[in-house]
Amino acid sequence: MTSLLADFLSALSLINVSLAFVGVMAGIIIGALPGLSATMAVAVLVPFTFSLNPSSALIVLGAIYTGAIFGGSWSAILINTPGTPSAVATTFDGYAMAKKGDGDLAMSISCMSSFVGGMVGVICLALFAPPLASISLAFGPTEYFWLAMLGLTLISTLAEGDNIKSLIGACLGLLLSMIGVSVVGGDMRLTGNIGFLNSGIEIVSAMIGLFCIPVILDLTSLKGKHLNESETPKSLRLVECFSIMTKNKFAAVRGSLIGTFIGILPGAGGSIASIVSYGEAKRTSKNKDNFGKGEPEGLVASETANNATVGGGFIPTLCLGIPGTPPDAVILGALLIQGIKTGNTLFTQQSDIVYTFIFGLALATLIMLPLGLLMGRYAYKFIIKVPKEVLIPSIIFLTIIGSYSIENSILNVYFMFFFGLIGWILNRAGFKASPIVLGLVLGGIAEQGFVQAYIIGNAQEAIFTNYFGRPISISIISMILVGLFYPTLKEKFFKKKVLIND
Amino acid sequence: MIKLKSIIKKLIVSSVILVMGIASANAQVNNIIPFGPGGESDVTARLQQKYYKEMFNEDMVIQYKPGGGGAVAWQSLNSEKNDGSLIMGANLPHIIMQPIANKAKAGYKTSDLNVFTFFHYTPDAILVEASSPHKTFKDLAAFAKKNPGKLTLSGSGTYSANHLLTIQLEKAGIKATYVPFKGTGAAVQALLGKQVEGSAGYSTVASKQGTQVRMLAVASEKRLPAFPDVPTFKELGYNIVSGAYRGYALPKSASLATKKKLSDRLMKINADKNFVKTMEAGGYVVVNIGHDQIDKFMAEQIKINESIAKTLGLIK
Amino acid sequence: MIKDKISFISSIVFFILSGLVYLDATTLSDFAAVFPLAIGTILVFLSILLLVRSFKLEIKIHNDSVLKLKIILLVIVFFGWIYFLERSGFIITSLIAFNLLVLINCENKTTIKQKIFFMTAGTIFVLLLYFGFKNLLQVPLPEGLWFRH
Repeated sequence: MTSLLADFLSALSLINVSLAFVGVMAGIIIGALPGLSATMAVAVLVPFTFSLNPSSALIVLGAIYTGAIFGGSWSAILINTPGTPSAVATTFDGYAMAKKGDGDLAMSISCMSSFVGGMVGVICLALFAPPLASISLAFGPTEYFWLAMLGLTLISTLAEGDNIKSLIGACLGLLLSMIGVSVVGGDMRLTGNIGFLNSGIEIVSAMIGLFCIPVILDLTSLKGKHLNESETPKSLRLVECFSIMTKNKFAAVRGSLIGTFIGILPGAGGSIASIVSYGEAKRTSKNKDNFGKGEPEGLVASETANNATVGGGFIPTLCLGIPGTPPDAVILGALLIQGIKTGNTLFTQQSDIVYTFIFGLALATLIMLPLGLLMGRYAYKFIIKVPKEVLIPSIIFLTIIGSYSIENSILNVYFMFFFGLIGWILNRAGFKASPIVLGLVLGGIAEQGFVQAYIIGNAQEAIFTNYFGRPISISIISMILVGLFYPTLKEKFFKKKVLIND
Repeated sequence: MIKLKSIIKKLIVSSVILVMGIASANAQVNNIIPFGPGGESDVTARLQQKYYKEMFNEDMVIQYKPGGGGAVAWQSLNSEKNDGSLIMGANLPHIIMQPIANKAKAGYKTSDLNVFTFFHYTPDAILVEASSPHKTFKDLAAFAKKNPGKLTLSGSGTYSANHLLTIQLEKAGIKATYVPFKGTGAAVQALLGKQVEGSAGYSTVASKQGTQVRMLAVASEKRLPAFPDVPTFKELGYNIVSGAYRGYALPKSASLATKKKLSDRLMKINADKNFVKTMEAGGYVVVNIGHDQIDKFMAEQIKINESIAKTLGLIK
Repeated sequence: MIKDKISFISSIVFFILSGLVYLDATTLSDFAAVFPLAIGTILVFLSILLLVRSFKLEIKIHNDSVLKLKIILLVIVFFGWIYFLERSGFIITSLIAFNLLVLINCENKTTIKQKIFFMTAGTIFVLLLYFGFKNLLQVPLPEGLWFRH
């Protein structure tokens, strides 16, 4: 116990606190800029951490990571563009709220939700890391496949009215995810001999294109302001925000847990977490018709989940040496150079480094709340006042410089542009972006899981049991069936009750 | 109102100048890594970055250009500056196998890349999870011989070094089923979760995962200093010496002097005892192939890989 | 006859797309072809459904009216910005393109004074981000192929 106290105090050292502070602030700004992802933010900072001691290095990297994931919601709310892929589901209701004039409320809700999600993730990291790590190991290809299937059943939930077009959109997303080199087979697929597509669809530029360009094109051609000013621009609308959070506390907790859980699964990151959490919230909510039109519950669901993946992602990273999310891969590299050996020995032999880091991450998440609220208010007030004449070129500028920075390649900028035009045309033809993005994000996981499960099952001459006989898979399959058929079952039982009462 | 605007403008202009001042251009070399961050290329480059700054007082700026298993970066190398301000990571067997396997779709030819040094390699290795019943490689081989195809080995990608290792084993009579995953992380996860019986990976996996895995055999010439108990394939009677070599390349039009300067610098880092120690602890084998030996080395490697490609049916 | 023209055209487009997917799948090995074929088949099925539906009913899409001229100008400048980015260098291209876009988006009621203010603010914004990205984030923004010796 005394060592824990010592770790707690060392996390509160002047250096660590300032690192956490600067890290969160820098992270928020970088995350808010479309094209700059949390991974990039972390990668840029790594060389500066070599002169720091291991726990301080971890703290600043974790701070910038969690700040960036929160910051991604800013551009999602203000210009419908996920600043980081993890903010994808935030655009659904965040932007709608901003258009209605509740943008400042959305910013505050996002900040509080990110705080809640982040803290839950850190708490799980602190208390349950080893058992959660073993759970993540129990997830093999079969489980990943069924999990992706569960995610894909959310398409019908995300659909707004036109089911066939949503399904087509999802298929399009799935096909897009297959472009490039296939993991099993090594073939080059669906590239049509365009060399640039050999590496597949770069998801950040695709998201910028799909979400931002249609907004710009609409902005330029329609009269009127971009976002309506809220009635009370001076206040933070804290009281209102707080009451919304308490009203949606169930969604917040559920979102945080979903996010933590998806975070512990390597290969699944913030984008999947926010989409799944949003879909689940919409499916079970009483206000499901308001989702997509500016329903705060959707915003809460998305932002709690994506910040929870920060803490959750550290679990396999620290316990198993397998990165839980892409930024974790960079952090692992930095740790290796510092000479830190990850694995079960980390929690036992170098526990002071780990626990100082965990306290530091909690501190950074804590700092994010007031800092985020304040920065958010100023950012909101500033953006609101910017006239369309400057706003549109500025957004275009950001998309260009952002998509260029992903891989230092002009090709991504072209790609973002053309993808955006296609997205705009599809939008006007009635195909929404969310099913496409869902397919794009989940396609790889679904396919790899399916094929790998087949290969393993075939080698063990037990194909059927490999797909359907594993305990975790069975529970996921039941969740899929319940999710698909519960509405119809509910109706049947509900009808019966009405008859009896009559 | 107007006063405030002009003050803000002045602040902005001065901060711009400040930023410019802070980031005054030091002489620096840009190190483009053809993969995403966190992998072996990244980790070793970061280590070099540290020593580069100490030894030559210059910044080595690491940038990532992932895509196509490295192909995206290699396609673009010759359009970059050739004055020595930019070097790009080069990996074997990738730069030989990709043009062979994907032909025109690879987007570049091996001869397009002006490789000037290789500074380490990670030997292939077969690993099992710590609680596996297979205690030695002989156990594993016996199991495979009794149950051909039942031994599942995870690895990263198709036609990668991991995959090629399993093919070489198959030629030696050990028939296993290779299960490709997207990246080493996923392959290791499958191993630790016992979704597969073993893994065809690199020696660095054993270093990263520590006591969670057991390395049964390593494809280096001699036993690795960090793992003295692990036999080499050669000792066990299999003529398998292979792995991934990592080094750097310059644009084709770079001068001989530039090549020499950079090669000498990187070889100097290789000679540093502490550098070698850190590398070996991570499972990397330091090799000193400078610009003067590069042509002979590449010719050898091309021959070796072409014969493997013939076995795979990629070349007739 | 066709109640929903847009759905009709879309269904044809996606039908052709599935055809292309089938075509590509013939060049693939067994494992790599599984998913493309599966999704392609589902897409064919859905396209036919959409086609049939387009004859029977129309689900209206709410599209606000659009000023065509402004969009075309914007798209041209946007594309030109990207096209010239590597050729004439980041700074010049961005400054020109940014200010062009400001002018395009100006409405009739914007005064000259306002226009100049916007363009100055924009220039500062561009420069600020340029140096920020180049030096702080170490992103090598294009210098301009025309200016390289």
